[in-house]
Amino acid sequence: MTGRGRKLTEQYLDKILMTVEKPGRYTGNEYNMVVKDPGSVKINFAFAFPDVYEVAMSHLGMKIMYHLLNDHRDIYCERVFAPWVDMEKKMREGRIPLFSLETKRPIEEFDFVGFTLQYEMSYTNVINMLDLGNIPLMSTERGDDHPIIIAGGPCAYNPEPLADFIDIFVLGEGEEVTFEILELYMDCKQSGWDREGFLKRAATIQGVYVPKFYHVQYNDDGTVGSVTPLYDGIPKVIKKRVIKNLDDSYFPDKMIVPYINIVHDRITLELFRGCTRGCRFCQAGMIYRPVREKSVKRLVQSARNLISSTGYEELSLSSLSTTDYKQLDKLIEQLMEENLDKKVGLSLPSLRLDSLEKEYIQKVIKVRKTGLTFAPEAGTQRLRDVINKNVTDQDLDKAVRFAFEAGWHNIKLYFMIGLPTETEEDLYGIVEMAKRVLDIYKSVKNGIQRKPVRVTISTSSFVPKPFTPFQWVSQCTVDELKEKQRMLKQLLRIKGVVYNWHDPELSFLEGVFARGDRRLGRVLLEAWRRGCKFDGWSDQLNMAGWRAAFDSTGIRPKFYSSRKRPEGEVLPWDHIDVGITKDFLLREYRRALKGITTEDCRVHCKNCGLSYFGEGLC
Amino acid sequence: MRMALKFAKGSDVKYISHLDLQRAFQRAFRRSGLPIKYSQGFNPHAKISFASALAVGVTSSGEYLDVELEDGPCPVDICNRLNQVLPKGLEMLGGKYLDKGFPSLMSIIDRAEYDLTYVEEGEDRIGDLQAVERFFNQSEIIAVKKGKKGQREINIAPFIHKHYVRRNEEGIVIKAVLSTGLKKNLNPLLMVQTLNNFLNIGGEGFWRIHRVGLMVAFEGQILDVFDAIDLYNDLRCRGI
Repeated sequence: MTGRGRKLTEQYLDKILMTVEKPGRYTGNEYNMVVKDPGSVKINFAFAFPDVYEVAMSHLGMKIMYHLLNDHRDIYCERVFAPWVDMEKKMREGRIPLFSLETKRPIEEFDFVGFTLQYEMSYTNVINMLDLGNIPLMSTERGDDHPIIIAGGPCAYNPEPLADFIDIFVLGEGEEVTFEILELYMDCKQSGWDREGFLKRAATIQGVYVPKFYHVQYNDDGTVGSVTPLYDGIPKVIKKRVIKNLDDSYFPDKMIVPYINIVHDRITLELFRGCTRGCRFCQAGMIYRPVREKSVKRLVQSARNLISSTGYEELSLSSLSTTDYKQLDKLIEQLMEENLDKKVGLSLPSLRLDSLEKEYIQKVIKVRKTGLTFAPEAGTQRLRDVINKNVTDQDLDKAVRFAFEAGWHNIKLYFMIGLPTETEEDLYGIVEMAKRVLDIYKSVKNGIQRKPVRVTISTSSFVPKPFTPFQWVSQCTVDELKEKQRMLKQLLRIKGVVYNWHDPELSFLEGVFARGDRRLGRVLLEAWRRGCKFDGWSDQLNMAGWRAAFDSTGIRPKFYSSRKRPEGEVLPWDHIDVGITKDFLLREYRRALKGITTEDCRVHCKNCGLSYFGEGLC
Repeated sequence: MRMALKFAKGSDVKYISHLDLQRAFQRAFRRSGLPIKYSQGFNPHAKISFASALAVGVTSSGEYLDVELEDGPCPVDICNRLNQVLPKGLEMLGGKYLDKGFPSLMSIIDRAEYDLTYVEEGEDRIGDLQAVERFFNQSEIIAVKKGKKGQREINIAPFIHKHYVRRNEEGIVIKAVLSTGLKKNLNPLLMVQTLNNFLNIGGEGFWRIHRVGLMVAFEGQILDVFDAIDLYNDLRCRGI
């Protein structure tokens, strides 16, 4: 089948690619793509990203894992992404199974298909990709000859909604544990392949969760009673994996250079993992702890290698809060020295409001048409204290003043609505902020306004996430969110102000699956059968399909979204250990409701539980 | 120092749009470390201009770009160094020094030669070569061009300069010279669509299109790009 399937796919592609949008999504062959003979390796691994090429190729984790796996001589890692709806239609018409970009082989021929779960709203795409790949959807339906379906990424920390479809979840950073799983696989392949036997042994590796080996028992009220392993020797609680020394860990010297425009089309340097700010809404800030920085020396070396191997014109510094990198001034200085003659631009995402005073940052950020974005997150100091976003009105005023003085006339402010304890006052606060920014512009320009100012106010709707202090709270209903948006739309009808908002239906669905349990698998399957996919794309979201899926499975979505959980409830993800303890989250939850802030834990340890991963790790 | 470089765009990269191709070359030049000249401004770009945009889905063995470099490497070195850093499917074929006074390649491109193969499948076949000849021999060949403002009918006959039709094992092969450039331009895809309608084909089968090369109008003649550069240099040496 191998040779023939591939040839058929290639021939068919020649025929259909002229009829689909952006054919460059499906052709591969980009510079730095890894070419190997699939027959010469022991493991063929398909790295699957359940979204389109432009999104998938922007993801740093994929770039790291792709080159890391391919550096191993016994492994060939290829890429497979979700075909856009036009391409899917053509593929189904021509009976072309989902294929890899590198060799155009059907994914059913691989040993592993590894999904990265970055976003709850990509779950239907996971199912759709399995189906397009002719792989049985349910883990229990797969036999010895089917690929092992493995999944990781931030959404794997609450794996339950996808538990029926995934054979192995990997919790935490994948650089080491993936090899442990693959080596075990090679072992098992040599000594007579038995899928169940392999999975049972894999389940004993730290960071590995094989959901079908765990039984979930429910209480009469529908809440989870317990999650227990079915076999001895399989851990009751699965502990995430952490790379202890990030500076010594793998980082690729090469990255694939796409032809078509992707979302983040530049070199990304990872400065550090984790964050100690402790914003209470932020899952990333909790699950990626502890903070581990890379050295300036290592980063400059990486930059040098990547610039010469990719030819990229832009380099971006990435982390959860870039300006918290301890030697940022030194790093920027060295990178600027290196790269000015090579005409490589430097960009800094995720700037904190209070960082703009620093001269070395002012030097880097250039006035571009795109404008500057700041994230006060909430409109009043009271609410910012609840969420522990420790910035003040004065920080905002100073940052905005600097930006206007430096020549910007385009400012974007990002907020969340529907945060716990939010009242109308907090929404008025957003409006007041917008007005104050306009006033600052007027005072900076002193009546001489050459260009019209534009203040964009953007609100997303808060989604409570597992492993955050807000994992117990009730999410606002769609109607409540709509009402808040309606109010803001009215109040922000001000000259010079533009208001953007997110679809509340999407936030609601995200909320259901973020804190969902295993029973939601039935809803996912039903929604997918009714044509739901690419749910995160507003032009594709099919709410009628989703409502029908909930109705026909008899599952009430509000049980997951707007129900406030009692503090003592067993949460569907309680058997997953991300390092920080439930006790710490509970303490933070109670402080939040009282409006008490918690300082950055670099200042003073808050006993979040991480110290148990080893000394000096935070 | 100005140079004209010739390159091929193979089937591995034929779905890459002109804009994407330009970016791919920008990055290849950066990787090569060649002393290329950059524009000024916030986003400096290498000074490269392409002679002619190739339609998406079309391969070519004769594309050209016009580039400015600091003094140093000769055209052969430049091609060699670029070939080491170009993605699969793009290949430099040669280069020539260009005098400052030589017009931009883009402005003098006049025609292109194409090989167009209709790959026949199943029942979808072109009956006989005569039918194809009849298409080309019409006094007017009306094509429907879809633009932003809707559909428009144009006569493409004046843009087709030569044609030669034969059959091979895959189907029908047409060799054609078509107007190409800023003034008159015929996209080969438009021509084959018009031919599809004329012959009532295009169901199972499909067209594979290859651009053999580009020609310029220079000193009253139609010439290969490099021949025109040689002629210019020759005339200049002789003070004409």
